[in-house]
Amino acid sequence: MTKALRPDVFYLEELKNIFGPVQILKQPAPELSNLPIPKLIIDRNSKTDESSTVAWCPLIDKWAEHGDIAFADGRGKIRIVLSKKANANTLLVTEQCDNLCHFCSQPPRKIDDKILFAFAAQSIVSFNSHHVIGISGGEPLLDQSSIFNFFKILDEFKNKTPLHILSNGRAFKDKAFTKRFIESAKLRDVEIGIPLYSTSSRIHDYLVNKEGAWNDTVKGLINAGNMGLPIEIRVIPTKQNYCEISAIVEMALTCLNSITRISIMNLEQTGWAKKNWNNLYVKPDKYLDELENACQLGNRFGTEISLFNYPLCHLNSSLYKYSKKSISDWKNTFPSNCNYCVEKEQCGGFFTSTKNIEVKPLGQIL
Amino acid sequence: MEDYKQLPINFRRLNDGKTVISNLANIFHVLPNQKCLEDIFLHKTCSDKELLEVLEHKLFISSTDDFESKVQLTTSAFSKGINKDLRSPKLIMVVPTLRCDHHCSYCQVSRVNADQEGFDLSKSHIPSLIKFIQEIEKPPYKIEFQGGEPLLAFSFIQEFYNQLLMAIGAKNFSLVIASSLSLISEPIITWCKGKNISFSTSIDVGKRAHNKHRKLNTKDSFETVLANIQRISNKLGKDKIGTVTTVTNDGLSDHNELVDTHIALGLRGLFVRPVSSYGFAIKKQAKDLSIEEFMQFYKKLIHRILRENLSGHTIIEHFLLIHYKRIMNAAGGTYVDLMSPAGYSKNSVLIDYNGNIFGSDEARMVYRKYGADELIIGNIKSRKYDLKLSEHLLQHSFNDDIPACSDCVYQNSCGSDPIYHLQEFGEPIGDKSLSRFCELHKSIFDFIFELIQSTEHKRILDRWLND
Repeated sequence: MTKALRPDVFYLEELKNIFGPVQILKQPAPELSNLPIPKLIIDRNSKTDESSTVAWCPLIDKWAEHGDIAFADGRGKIRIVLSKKANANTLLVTEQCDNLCHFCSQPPRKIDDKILFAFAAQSIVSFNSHHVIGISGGEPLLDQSSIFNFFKILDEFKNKTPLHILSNGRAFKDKAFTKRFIESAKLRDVEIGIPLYSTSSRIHDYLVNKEGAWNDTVKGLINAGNMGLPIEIRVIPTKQNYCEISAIVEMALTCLNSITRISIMNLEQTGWAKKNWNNLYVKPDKYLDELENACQLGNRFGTEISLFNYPLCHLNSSLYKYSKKSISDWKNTFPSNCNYCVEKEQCGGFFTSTKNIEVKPLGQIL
Repeated sequence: MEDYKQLPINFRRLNDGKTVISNLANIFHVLPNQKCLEDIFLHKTCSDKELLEVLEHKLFISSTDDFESKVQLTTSAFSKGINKDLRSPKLIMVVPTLRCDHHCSYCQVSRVNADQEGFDLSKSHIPSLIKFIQEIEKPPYKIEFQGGEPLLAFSFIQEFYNQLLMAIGAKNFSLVIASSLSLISEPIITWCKGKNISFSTSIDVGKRAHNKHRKLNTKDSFETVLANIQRISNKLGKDKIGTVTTVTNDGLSDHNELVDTHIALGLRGLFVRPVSSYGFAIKKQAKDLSIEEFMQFYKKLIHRILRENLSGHTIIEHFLLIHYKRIMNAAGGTYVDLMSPAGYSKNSVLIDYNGNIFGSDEARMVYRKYGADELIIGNIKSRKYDLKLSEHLLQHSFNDDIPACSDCVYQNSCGSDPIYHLQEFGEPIGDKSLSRFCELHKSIFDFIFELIQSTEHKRILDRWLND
């Protein structure tokens, strides 16, 4: 594995026996003392402080900012989950899911993880950012009482952090739930990212490995869209659906309301996608025309269409303008060959998890 | 897909035998012939897998498993279309004066002479006019001055601009002055500079037709308008001037002259439509020009314009583009004439020189011709409104349940025009087999499907979408 742009895991003796979210401070901050999570003051002089743990770690000092949130595992290891230094912040709120996607990057585990939702709420309240925070799973809307309780906690602290929730959308097939969800979330901007992998159930249900999923997701998309919930549609091209990418985009933009944007995402070689890679992954050069057709629909419908996770050297130059630097910095890398590429500044690079990375430096004089 | 179910479709045979199909989602597909249509939808004997796949993507057929969801997707798309037509903004038209220096043969509103008194909107009504506008629409407002000749009442426009600017700020409105430009002067241009004000003017098909129909007593109307377009374009910018072309039965072979005129002026857009059959124009001109004749002219015109585009010269004909946008479900595809429910009073409103409020410019024309008082919604002075007739007209302007529209392949791209049909048939729906409105728009849609069979032409229209 190549080195990530922003390391996020550290070890700190003093945090043994602390489990859950911790707020990292660079100096005492009495104004934060009413907030619900333990404080870790990173201070060279190690003065004692009654309400906080005080310790010194030059690496954490370098890679964390005052107010960042880390997750402690109770054995001294911490992972920074919300950082002002990060290019994107995302919280995992559950590992349970009602789909079992062949390319799942975060495969579900049957464990009691209800506490994750509470940790997420505490972290968001303490971090108190006005930049968007991603909520992912598992399926965040699977346990309906947890999601409503989550919003209740945020409301109690008058938190208004905008949220992007990644969901399979199946829960929205229930109109009463959809209505209650919108009502519960209304104090903040919420956008739901919902993947749609096909125009028919045959391929979608195969990819998410669950019969009936497409019908639920489509009905959910219709309901949520009609009730005005902003929706980002996500499409992942695979061997099974790469021929219908533009058809999926066209169907979504023709039929669904409240679509804010469409993101076409290159496969990430992690989780279950690792073992299913050969069955799923198709090189972009097989479907560049299809990407072109899909992206051009953005102009026609007046909706932004973006390409996520595509290194520029895997695309045609006509597609560069749709490509986003989308890979989170803690799992983002540029192999050494990229240093010879004239497009590096504009490029989103690679996942650290990708095996046999194919780099084709651009503009190189051989 | 082993077996499939058919979703509801409408269809229409084009002149060359090809068959256009569409559904409630306003998605289209062209089948090679009627037999193919029957094979797919009647006998289910079609074995062209690729075609069936496309038809499945486009919500024309579905597997049994997906049928219910596909029906819901279709109805969701249908509601999305209606929603778009309901939410699009209102065009607010103001007639500061009915006086005019031209004597156009096809004038729809019965203008009065330039020196006649009693046909101007008084400046003292500006506060109540602004209040009315704020009451009926959210900013940013698009306000268009119509006439008569608005430049005869330029001081009214200036005063209105100043008061509106004070009330809501420059970012919240834009003004268009629909004018023949014969009275444009250096001081007017200087005053408009740097303001959110643009001009819309008329160029008819060729010098001969223009001068015949748009008569000026003292000057050559055609030369005057060309010179003044150039002046505005030079001093205020090309984006501050747009043209509209009214086609009569004069100049039907002068399509090249029309395009050349625009190219010479450096204009990138045209808007070309047949003489309207409203108000006073109906008697004088419209009956003389059949839609068939118009289409013969229009097709020659469009082919010339497409040739220009093919040679790298971007010129857009906006009447065609608006129809194409409707067919493609494209953003910005809202046009008062192509809406269901109609644009009348919902997306347009006109305040006449005496303060009377109408639901559209056409309603004013019909009122003036027939004295149909019921078309007056109210007056900005009294602030009492009677929407009874307008509501009735709008209720009858959803085209999905109207005879001949309900089974038309273009139903969801087209619109309805209750005022035109009220005038022609005495009621808002009318007989579509005799309707000029229906014939015109259907012909344009047919023409588009004829055109886009050439990928070259389709590419140009797609480029226009993105322009």
